Amino acid sequence: MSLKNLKKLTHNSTLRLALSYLSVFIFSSLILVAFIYWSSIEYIYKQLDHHIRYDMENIQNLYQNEGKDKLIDSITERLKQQSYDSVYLLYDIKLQKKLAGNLSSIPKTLDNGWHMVALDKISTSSHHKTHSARILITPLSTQLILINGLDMQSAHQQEHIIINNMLLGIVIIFILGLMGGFIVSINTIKKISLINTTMQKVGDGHINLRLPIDGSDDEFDLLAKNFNQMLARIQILMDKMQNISNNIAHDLRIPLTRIRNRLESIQQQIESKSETYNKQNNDNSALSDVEQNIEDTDNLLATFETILNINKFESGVQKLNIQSLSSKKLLSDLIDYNEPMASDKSIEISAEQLEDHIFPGDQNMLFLALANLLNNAIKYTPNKGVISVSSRLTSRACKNQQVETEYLEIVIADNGLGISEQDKSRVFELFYRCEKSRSLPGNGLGLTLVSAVINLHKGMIELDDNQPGLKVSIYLPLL
Amino acid sequence: MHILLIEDDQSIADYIKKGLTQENHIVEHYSDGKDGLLVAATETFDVMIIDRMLPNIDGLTIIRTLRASKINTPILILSALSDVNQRVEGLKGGANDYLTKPFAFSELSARVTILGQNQVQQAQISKLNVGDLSLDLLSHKVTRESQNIDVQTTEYRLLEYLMRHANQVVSRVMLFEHVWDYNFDPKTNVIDVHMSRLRKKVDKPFKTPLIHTIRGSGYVIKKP
Repeated sequence: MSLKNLKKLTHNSTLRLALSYLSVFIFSSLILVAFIYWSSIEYIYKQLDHHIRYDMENIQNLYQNEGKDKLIDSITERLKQQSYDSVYLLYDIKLQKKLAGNLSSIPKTLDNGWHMVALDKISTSSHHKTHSARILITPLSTQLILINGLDMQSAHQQEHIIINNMLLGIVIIFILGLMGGFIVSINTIKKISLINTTMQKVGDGHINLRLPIDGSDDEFDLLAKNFNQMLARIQILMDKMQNISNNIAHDLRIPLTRIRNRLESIQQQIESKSETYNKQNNDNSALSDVEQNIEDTDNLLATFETILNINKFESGVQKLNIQSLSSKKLLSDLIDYNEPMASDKSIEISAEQLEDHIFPGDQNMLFLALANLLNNAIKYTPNKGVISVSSRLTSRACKNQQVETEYLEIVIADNGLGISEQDKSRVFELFYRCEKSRSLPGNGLGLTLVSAVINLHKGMIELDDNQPGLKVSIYLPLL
Repeated sequence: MHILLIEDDQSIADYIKKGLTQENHIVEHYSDGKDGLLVAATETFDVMIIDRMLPNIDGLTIIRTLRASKINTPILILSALSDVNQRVEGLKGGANDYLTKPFAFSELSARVTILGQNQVQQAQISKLNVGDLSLDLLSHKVTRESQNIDVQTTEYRLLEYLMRHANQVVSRVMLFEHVWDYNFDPKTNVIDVHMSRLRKKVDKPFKTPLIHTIRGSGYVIKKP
């Protein structure tokens, strides 16, 4: 797994979920292990105590039945027989004397009951360590005290074995849990990241992409199915919308042209009448109404034609007439064409960085697109503003690709209103108009047309802040 | 002018016929490609208006056949196919001009008039005159009332095109096509701004204006 993937993993919510499950799992395992540990240890000590008490009772019985001397013999005997870690001491309080046993020193307290004492090994001389021993102090008579017990070494050893085994168990549980979590989350990550990348592509405009369905009918399959259904529905709606605007534009164009032509003939009739009958009468309100109507119909027709053009470009019906173009000629023509509009607003169009490069493109379509952009720049730049048009070669990575290719970069930058960040992604939509420009004349089609033309050329278009103003960069491939 | 119209859509044909007749042209109409070709090949016309999609023989074939038989009558293609490539194909096939449906009648009329006139005009003239305005095609000098008028390249080209077609209405699209050499309808009022600049220089300082706006149609330059 590469470093990038690993980084992605740690930032992944599925992994976080897996880890939190793992921690809950480990926490409960720890509680279980602790419980087992304590109960085992308790059992060991109980057994130990039981053994000591039993031994004590035997000795007590022996003493009551057969007396002190026999008892001393028996303890000495026991010590000889029992190789394991028994501890004995028969002590005479009055004489302050040890009668029998292997405990080297007298315990500090001689209160009845259970005690722990440090044990200097004298009996089991194999180990020269100090251990602790558990002892039971029992008075046999007013004079005699019996101390019997067991060296804790073996119990401690058992305890260590239990702890070690349990630690090993915890490590195994942790490793298995972690592995399981990773396996589960990697699987989920894979499926989710597939959904993610597909959705991203769909968002980029590849609306005909669909998520793969593996037929397992699990939640992911269901999710994919629902997504696909949703996408299909969106596509249908989009097509419908596009078709509707296209059909409206197409069907209304012909009757509108007829209306326009009739208006024109009315205009001619009024003109000829006013020429022949009352030349001096200057009441031309009918004529100017008709002329206004013609102008409005022309605007409507222009809007319809733009919609139809956008549709043609976007659907790929329109084929480009690719020729070798000179960037300098195209842009000079463009500036020359728009210059009077700019000079009416005392806007200076600077074309200082206009490099001449030959590139393939459709002259008419590109002129149409660029004229739209320059026209916008002039429209939204205040009086005495500056617009710069430049062109140069640049190499950059194409969308979704690592390889850098060479492009002709055309930049039109103004210092006008600019486009707000949230509008940037939407200005290329059909009929979209920015809040700031709603008051100005326009139909919200210009940039849609521009992006359709640039896409048809397999180019890219980018909008940046010119601080203040808008900087539009167009990248056209040189291939 | 004697105009041949080959168009299968009866309502469009009637409409064109009516309009052109009103402008004192004689129009002969055929709705079938075969009949149209026969007439076009045997009679003489000043201008032909031919639809691209026709029954029996399509418009482009008619044009190619006519050009192959050395009939050089100016031809305007009328077509519902607005694709630029279609246009290029039509012009390569021998047509002189191309107009897409739906069209404004004034646009058709302006184009037909200019096509008819093209034949008459000689290329050898070195000076264009309209009233007291003259344009020297060799020195690129514009003078009116013997005063020099300083015009820029674009203005000069606009004026030259207008003066070459003096007394004829020239549409904005025609100006755009010929002055800037791009083939589409820009659908903006940019041409008007250019024209108003030109008029400021050519007409404003003088008593009588020569350039007139025909609203809804275009411009015309004529003697007062």
